[in-house]
Amino acid sequence: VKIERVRIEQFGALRDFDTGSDPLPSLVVIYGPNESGKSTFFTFLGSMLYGFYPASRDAHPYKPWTGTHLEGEATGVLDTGVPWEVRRRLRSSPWGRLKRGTADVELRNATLPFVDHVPRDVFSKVFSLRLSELVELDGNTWSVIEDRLMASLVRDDVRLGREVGGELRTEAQRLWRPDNRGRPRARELTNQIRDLQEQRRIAEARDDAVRTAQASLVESRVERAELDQRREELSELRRSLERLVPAQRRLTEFDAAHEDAADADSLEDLPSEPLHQIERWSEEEGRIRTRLEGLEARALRLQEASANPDRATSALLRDADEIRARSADFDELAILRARLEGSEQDLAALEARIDRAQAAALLPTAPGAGPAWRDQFVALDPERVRACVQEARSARERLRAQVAEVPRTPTPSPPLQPESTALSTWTPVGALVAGIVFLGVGSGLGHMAASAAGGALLLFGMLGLGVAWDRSRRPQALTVAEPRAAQVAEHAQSVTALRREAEAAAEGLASLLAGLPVRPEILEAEDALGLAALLELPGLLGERRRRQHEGRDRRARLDGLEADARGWLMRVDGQVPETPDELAKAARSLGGRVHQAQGSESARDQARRDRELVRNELGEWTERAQELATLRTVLSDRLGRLGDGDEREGDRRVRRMRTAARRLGDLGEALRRDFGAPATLRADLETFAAAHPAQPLSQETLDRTRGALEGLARRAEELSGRIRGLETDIRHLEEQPSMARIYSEIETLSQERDGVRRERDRLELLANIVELAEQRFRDRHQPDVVRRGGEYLSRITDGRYVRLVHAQDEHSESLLLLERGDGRLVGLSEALSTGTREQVLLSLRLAAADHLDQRGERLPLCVDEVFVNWDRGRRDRGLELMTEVAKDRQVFVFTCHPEVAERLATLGARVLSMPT
Amino acid sequence: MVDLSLNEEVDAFVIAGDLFDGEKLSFATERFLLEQLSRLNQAGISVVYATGNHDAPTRARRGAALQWPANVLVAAGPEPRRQTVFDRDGTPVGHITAAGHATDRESRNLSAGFLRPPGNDPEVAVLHTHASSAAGAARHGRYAPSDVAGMARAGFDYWALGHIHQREVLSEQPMICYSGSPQGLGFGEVGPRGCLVVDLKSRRTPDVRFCSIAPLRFEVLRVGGIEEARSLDAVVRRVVEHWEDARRMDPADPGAEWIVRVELEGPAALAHSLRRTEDQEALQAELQAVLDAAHVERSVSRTQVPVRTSDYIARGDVLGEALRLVEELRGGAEPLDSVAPDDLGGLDISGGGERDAYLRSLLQDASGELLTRLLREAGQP
Repeated sequence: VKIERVRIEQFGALRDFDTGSDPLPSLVVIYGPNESGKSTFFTFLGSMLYGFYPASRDAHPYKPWTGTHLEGEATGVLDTGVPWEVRRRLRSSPWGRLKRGTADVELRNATLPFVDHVPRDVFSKVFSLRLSELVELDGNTWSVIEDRLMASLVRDDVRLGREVGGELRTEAQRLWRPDNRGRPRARELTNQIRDLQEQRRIAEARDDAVRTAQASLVESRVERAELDQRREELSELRRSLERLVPAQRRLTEFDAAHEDAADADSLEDLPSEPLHQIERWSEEEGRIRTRLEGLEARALRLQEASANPDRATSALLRDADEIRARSADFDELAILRARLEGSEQDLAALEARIDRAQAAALLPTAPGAGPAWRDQFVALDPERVRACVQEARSARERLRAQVAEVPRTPTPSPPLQPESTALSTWTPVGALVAGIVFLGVGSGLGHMAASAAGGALLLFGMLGLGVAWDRSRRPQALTVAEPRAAQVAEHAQSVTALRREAEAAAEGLASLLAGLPVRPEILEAEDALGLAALLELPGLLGERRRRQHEGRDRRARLDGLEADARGWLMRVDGQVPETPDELAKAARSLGGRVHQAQGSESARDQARRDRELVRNELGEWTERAQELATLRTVLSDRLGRLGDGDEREGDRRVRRMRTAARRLGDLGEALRRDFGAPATLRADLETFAAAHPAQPLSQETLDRTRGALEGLARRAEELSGRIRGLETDIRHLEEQPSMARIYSEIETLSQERDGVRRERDRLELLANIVELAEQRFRDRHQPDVVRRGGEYLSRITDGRYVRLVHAQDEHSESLLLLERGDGRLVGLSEALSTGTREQVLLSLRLAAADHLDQRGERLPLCVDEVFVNWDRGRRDRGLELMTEVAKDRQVFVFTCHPEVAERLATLGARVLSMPT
Repeated sequence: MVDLSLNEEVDAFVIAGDLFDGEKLSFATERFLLEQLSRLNQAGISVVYATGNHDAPTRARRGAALQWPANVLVAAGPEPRRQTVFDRDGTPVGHITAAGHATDRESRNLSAGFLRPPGNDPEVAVLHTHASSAAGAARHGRYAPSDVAGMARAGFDYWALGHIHQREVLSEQPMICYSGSPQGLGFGEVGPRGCLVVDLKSRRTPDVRFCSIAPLRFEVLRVGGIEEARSLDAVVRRVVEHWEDARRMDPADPGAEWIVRVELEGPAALAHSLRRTEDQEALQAELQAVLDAAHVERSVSRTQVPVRTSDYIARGDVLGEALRLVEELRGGAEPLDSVAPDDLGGLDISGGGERDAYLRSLLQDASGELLTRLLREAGQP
């Protein structure tokens, strides 16, 4: 590609810049001082070839200060001679158009198609050589140069292969290393796995320990089970022995007792103590004999006592019932007599009462009155009399009260004062009451004196009341005021009426008592005693009549009975008493004799009965004595037989047999209670003997069994402790991490380690790929570059260094050697001057540019002040080299040095001065 | 499985080998095993156990010395042993024939010794074998190798196979199945794990039902589509979406716990950030917090910057060289040894094939990794 004209309308500081219509030559010098726009010009060239970058006006570093768009164009010809013209503009978006030959295409911001074999960034790095890049090579080794060179051959978006490869390898080495350096992850994992393997071994040992412990546990449990079984068997044996050994002993005792008590049943009829019983019987027999003697004597006495009575006694006894019956009659006679005498006394007392009543109530003439009067008196109704007396008294009282109500003057009069008397009204009343009391007492008690006193008092009282009443009837000396006439008249009428009533009542009473010698004062006055006597008198008279009749009847009956009794006595006892007392005495005597006879008869009867009893008792006792004698004889004989003639020995034998029998019973009962029925026990013993032929049923066996059980118990305890210990051990062992868990962790870590190793291998492989790719890249580019670079270097150094040599040291590190004209190889790192290293780099960059576009259009090369550090000879040769290079590609040399511009101008370059 | 067997009231319980791993049989495990087998014994369930390479008598002496319950038939040698299976009423309902590995290096085809006896009862064969046609065969040792055709010819109604940890039906006529491992052992054994309940009422068409019982589930959650995710939060949200989608498709068994590896893959705006350890740790902490899992791991090596390899592979720079080199390595144009590390930490090299396969496996996603590593991050000097 050759650029023949450049027109810059606006690009950075350059505006309306035009290289002119004359086509630019292959070698162009852009001359101008610093900051004059040389770099701007170079960037513009790149933009024309590759488009604006960045493609944003605002972000573009060469945005015009005026803020307008960037725009320009370039024309030229291709290596094939085809002309081309490109115009680009960057406003809000890039625009571009390319004319190539007859073709006219829209570019927008695309790279010109004939330069895209070299990317933009490669073009900017390889085809633009600046002094700074060469200066920075000071002290660098070939590796740096190589990197820079290689980097310059690629685009900016790719990192250096060496860098990426190193990065991958570093990462890989962090994961795994074949050597023992560092602490890669795989090694850490290996160490962890190793630790876990150790834990695994421990866990396996623990597992073995668990197994061993478990086996021991099982063994111990089996032994314990066997031991328990043995203990159970021995316990069963012990229980059997504990039951059967004493049972057997007891059974033996039982059997011995059974043998001892073999005929004890035949002694059941014997007394408990036969000999003693014989003695007791003898003693009892003796006592019975003595008693029999006493009974016989008594029987004799009783026989005598029961002899028959004499004739008189027999007669009395014969008539005893009649006599007893008559005794009652005599008793009745006495009673009747006593009653008769009592009636007579009562009648006398009644007579006295009647006399007193008559004295109180009747006139003194009365005692001489005849029987008609008495009959009339007896018929008198006392109640009617009492009513009439009461009526008469009431009438008088009303009259007296009316009289006392005589009308009075207004002047109060002194109260009515009765006339004072020696005998007050209250005195007869008291006598009347006392008389009634005495009369009642004397009548009730039959006391004549009291009755008499009572009658006297009653009479006195009645008399006193009569006197008082009489006084009251007489006019009184009253001091009264004169009543008013009407009132007095009315009062007089009332008094009159009342007086008539009183008189009528008195007449009624008089009519009732007509013919009777009643003392009138007891009817008119307040004579209570008299009135009471009057009222009592009919009753008393009636009573006296009744009693008189009754006394006569009793007397008659008594006389009859006494006559009959005398007749009977005469007949029975031959005596006739005269007086009642004699009669009673005779009767009593007869009764006493009958009683005595009857007593004797009772004694005889009792003696007879006693005698019979004694006889019976005598029989009983005699029979008993005989029985005892028989018993004694029989028992004595039995004892004699049992004792072989010795009664006492027989008794002892009986005792022994009985003791054995009792013991047999006790033993049997205890045996059954403690061990069950003997038959069952014998079966058990036989069963035991059959089941344990080697174990005699004895205390020794029992003791031995107990000893064995104790030993087994101790062993069982030991085993239990061991089992508990083993279980604890196993539990503790199993609480620790198990083999399975450790295996799992090992497996997990192993898998992770495998993954880490695989990842390391992958990263290492990628690193190798990257490095191999870079090696290929180097191999593809480097030989030609180095060869061409050597040629350029030889031209510049004028044969001082004839070529460049690429080699590797013992560490496979790349080396660049300079072969001098004498064949000596000089390392780049050896002391070379700055100018020489810059010349090496310029040579390699020129070679790289040749290498990069050798298969396409040759792109223009820009060289910016690279010669300033060179000595004159090499600078001239360098400038001449530019002329050589410009034969194949267009070269733009940027410089501010006029001698450089002039020298190149002399070599055929066209000098473009930048505007200042 | 024992609970399941008791609930299902199965007639027999078969174990197709590798019941335990060599001497890694702790006493507690042993006791648990015997207790569970005793439960089956009490329920009248026959157990037929054929040893595998991990529990062959020469390798697992502890297991060989176990005092098995009476219901357990152990086939620990190449000679097939036959067990009649009875139902609860004591009526014979079928037969199980099993052969086991006598050593941990059994190389014979043990299935060749199986031959169905005459009879109409269901016949089941139990074997720990490396069936060459099994999908996961390449990842397992070739012990007691067999082929489906040979097993099919033996005439059994059902083959219960062990060894390959991935559940697989090798044949339906007759039914030949790997039940897979009942519990995943790592991220290589993801997905539901459990056992097969086989109903042989129909001899020709047994009803085979998988029951997921693993209490611990491994899950590799590959999460792509994070090209536009420009923050870790956005990445986490994307992971959670994937997790929830996955659980909707494959819900966990009640009570099961998860161990999850989250593998971010594909173009990622944060590809460079995700290469930084601190960002990875932050991401893992966040994932651990938001995913209902017992443990969460993360992998970001399969993410890459969001560019196309084809845009860079032709470049003349180192990146282009590297991308082309990867393709050459994959295609064999360039020998793997040219880039193989001198020492491979992740592979116990025993042969070229395995080594090449291993190296080739390392090349997976190498292009994306190289793009991410070599391309300069925006703003990166």
